Amino acid sequence: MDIQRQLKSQGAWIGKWTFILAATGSAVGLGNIWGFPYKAGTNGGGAFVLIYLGCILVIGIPIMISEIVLGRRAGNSPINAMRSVALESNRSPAWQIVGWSGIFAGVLILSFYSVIAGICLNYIFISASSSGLIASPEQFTDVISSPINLIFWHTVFMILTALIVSAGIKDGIGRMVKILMPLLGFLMIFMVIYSIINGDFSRAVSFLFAPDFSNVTSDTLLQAMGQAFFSLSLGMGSIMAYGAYMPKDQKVVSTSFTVASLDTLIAILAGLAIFPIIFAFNLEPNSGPGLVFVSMLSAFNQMQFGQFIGPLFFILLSVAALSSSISLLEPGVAYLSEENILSRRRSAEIISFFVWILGIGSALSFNIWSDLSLIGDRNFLDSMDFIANQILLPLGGMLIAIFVGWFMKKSLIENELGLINTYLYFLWRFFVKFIAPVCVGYIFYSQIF
Amino acid sequence: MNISNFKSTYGYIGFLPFAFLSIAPWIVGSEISKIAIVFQLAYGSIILTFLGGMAWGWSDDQKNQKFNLSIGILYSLIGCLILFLTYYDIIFIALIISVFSFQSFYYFEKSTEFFKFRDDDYKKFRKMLSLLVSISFLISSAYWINPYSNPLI
Repeated sequence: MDIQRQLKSQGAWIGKWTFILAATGSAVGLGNIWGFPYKAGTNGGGAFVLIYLGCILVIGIPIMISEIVLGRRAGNSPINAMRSVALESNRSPAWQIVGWSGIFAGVLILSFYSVIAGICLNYIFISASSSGLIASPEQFTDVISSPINLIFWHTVFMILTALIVSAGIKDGIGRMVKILMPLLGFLMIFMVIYSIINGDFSRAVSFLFAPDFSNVTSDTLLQAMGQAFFSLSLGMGSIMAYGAYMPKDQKVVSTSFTVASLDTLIAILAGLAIFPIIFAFNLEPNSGPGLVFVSMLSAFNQMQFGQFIGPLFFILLSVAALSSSISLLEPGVAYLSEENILSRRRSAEIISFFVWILGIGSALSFNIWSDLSLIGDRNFLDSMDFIANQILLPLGGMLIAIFVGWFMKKSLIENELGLINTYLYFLWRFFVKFIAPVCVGYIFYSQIF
Repeated sequence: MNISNFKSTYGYIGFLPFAFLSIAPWIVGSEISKIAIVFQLAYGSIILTFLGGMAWGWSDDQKNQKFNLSIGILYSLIGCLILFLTYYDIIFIALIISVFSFQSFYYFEKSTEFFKFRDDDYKKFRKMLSLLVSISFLISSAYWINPYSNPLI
């Protein structure tokens, strides 16, 4: 009861679109923009997109529904949500370990995500002032070889994240996603229109969508499953934490479909914004930081109005990163404040400071600690990535599916889902019981071994 | 199915050729792209002429009906103009006129008494359909001016 009262003091989303925008903001991050289009283009184009959509249906959406059901049922942070729903279902409170693992994963991810997002912030100014005299690969090397520079922008990004989260659900996250997500949509549409008019759009469309089933292998399936799981921010407690603030009259299933659709739409639009420009300047398509910080900057240096389009593109990336980072910080902050350990503001400050300290290690991994190995031959940043993305997230996602599918009381689930089509319900139950745990387990196994 | 749903179903089916003919050039390319855009313009001009004719079916006792009839005729004539421009290969101008015509016809229809008494579903459907058709012409216009896909370059 104490916890319920605390939740009410933390607030709830106002209007059904706030949850959708917040969850979409959490899901849409740098991975969608610099990962999905390249994976699609090099793994069979339209064939990959079809397989990916299938994976979203059988893995992504079922686990997302499970997380929302858990969060909204308990109305708490992931740790307390798992504990209270487990107790309500007459199960061991030890299930709260799933919540702890999610929060821990979120903190680790945020520590290096903030460094990379900081580089995006830095590039807003670099692309605006770039004269093209310094080639983009050298420019990128200059940026990442300076620890002070990386730590400065990492600090700026962490301050922004902490400020938003500390302001609360209604006045902080809720208000910001209503600004950030339409801004992201507007910038994305602007970039796509620019690419349609000026870029090699036909080649990009062919690269992304022309189905080539000869390129489809078991590895393609694995990549599509991984993309479907990781791109929806599952297993880290963010969706569960956001679900706790979801109004009771909002439909869980249709909301999950909307979030997954918007996430996919933005990933596809990112491809339609980036690749026409890459092809127009005869640059090689690739993914990750190399795509945005090297290839795209090179294109902006060469194109007309590049000093205007470039900053807009990096603002877009920064907005996508910020909307995700706040969801990474929220579960931990919600836990500390609902347990009355610290006030919400103080919780945000303390966790952000801890994340900032960890992030310094990731910032130094680009330069003076680049030879330092922490786990195997992985440097600090790669080690954080390994623990969070390759171990904790798949494990968390798998356990959530197993808990909801096998251990959560049926009446609680039905109560949260409300009136839904019987076939749809049985289909979801089947996916969450059998398909999703096996697929996420397979992703986990393939990443470790 | 009530009559509004029936109308919107037919309306969206009628939109499918616009969608197909505006996306096809980006996927297929080559000579076929120009044919697709010409077909889109021809289809659009027929629809626009039909829309202009709708004014003749509106109630005669509504305010400004004489003016509405004249504007309706104007849209039918614009439909003919689009065909004429397409025939003489002035494709880009024809596309831009199509964008503005479909959107402005919606605003014209919205300003009439006929529209005010329609149900909300019809109003939403007309707004969405006009927007989608205009976007389809914008996509084709972008194909036409894009330096990597323009069939005339």
